[in-house]
Amino acid sequence: MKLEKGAYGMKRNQLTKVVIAIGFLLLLVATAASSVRATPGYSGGDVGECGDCHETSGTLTLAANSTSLDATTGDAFTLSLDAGNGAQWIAVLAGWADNSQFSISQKTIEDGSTNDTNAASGAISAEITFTPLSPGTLTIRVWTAAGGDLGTSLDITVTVTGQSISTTTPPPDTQGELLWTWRIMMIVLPVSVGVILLIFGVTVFKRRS
Amino acid sequence: MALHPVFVHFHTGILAAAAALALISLILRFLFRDNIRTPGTRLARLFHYIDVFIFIGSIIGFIGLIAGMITGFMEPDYSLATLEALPAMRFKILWSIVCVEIYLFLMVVRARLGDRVWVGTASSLIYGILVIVGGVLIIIIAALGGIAVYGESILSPILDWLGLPWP
Repeated sequence: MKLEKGAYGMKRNQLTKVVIAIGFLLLLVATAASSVRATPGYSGGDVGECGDCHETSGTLTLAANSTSLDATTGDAFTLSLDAGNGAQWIAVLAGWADNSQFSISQKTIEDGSTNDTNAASGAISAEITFTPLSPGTLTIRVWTAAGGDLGTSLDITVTVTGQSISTTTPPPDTQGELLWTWRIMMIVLPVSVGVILLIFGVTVFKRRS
Repeated sequence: MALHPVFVHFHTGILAAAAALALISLILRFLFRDNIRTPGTRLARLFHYIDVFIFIGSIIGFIGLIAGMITGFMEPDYSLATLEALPAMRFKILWSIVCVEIYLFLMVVRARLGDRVWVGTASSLIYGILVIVGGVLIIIIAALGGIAVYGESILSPILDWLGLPWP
């Protein structure tokens, strides 16, 4: 039997199967892309609430040690949150209600993570520290959600007194020494890897062709 | 619109699997060399499938990495200045370029030589190790993306256990 390039070269009649396989892979990518379009505000935007998708409320439990309290700007307070009955996440994202008016120690907590003090699966206990940044009667909105359709929210009213605190984030140091090292590495590393690979190609693989 | 996640997860999984298969392949090749070189044996067929998986994986990896880089730079939340300022993003960009080079090399070598890349100790070792290096790099790059989005990664406990710091 005459062997073609490689002992197990691809036959011509396998081309159809390859085309079908590539078509299937493209379909997977298209499906994933369409799923992203359905929730444009979800990733990174801090905008969409859990209840936009987790529409069945009432099954998961969510409670805090207090739902109405007084606070002063700049003075941190801690809320103990307990979620149960299958809860997978607790989240307090900045885009919900007046959450952006607080500095929040932990915006998301997953069941079983290091911040979850409840060892049971489907139950989360966590302590989150809030620091009020501006005065007023403010609402902290907390969501819990599970892997499926379940989600529940809890609103906590905080009456804040005091003066506003500006939280300007200092711009990142773009002139740092590491940045310049990285810029040099962006040229040196790819070039040196390319040279090493070319040497491999000539000395090791070309001999076999 | 966040397109980057759509274009990164698929090939990351394939390349991680290819790296695991390359490691298994290298180990078993040294243990059962004669058996593998005998056409028609089960091991020979198994290693043929592994070889094809790695070859196709390299092609998908190369295309996927390019697509991932393009969509990464298109992310609305990460401007060029932000990407440059964040150490994790600098790491991702730098080693993504190296990954592209590695998978381009693997693709070209395998396309030119066929399954003869696995014949001979030097060529099989270099080919296999490069697949593993590419896989490890892509896993770390992906984990850094996970940390940027979710604050933690499935790789965190492993690196903590090894005592390795994040870039």
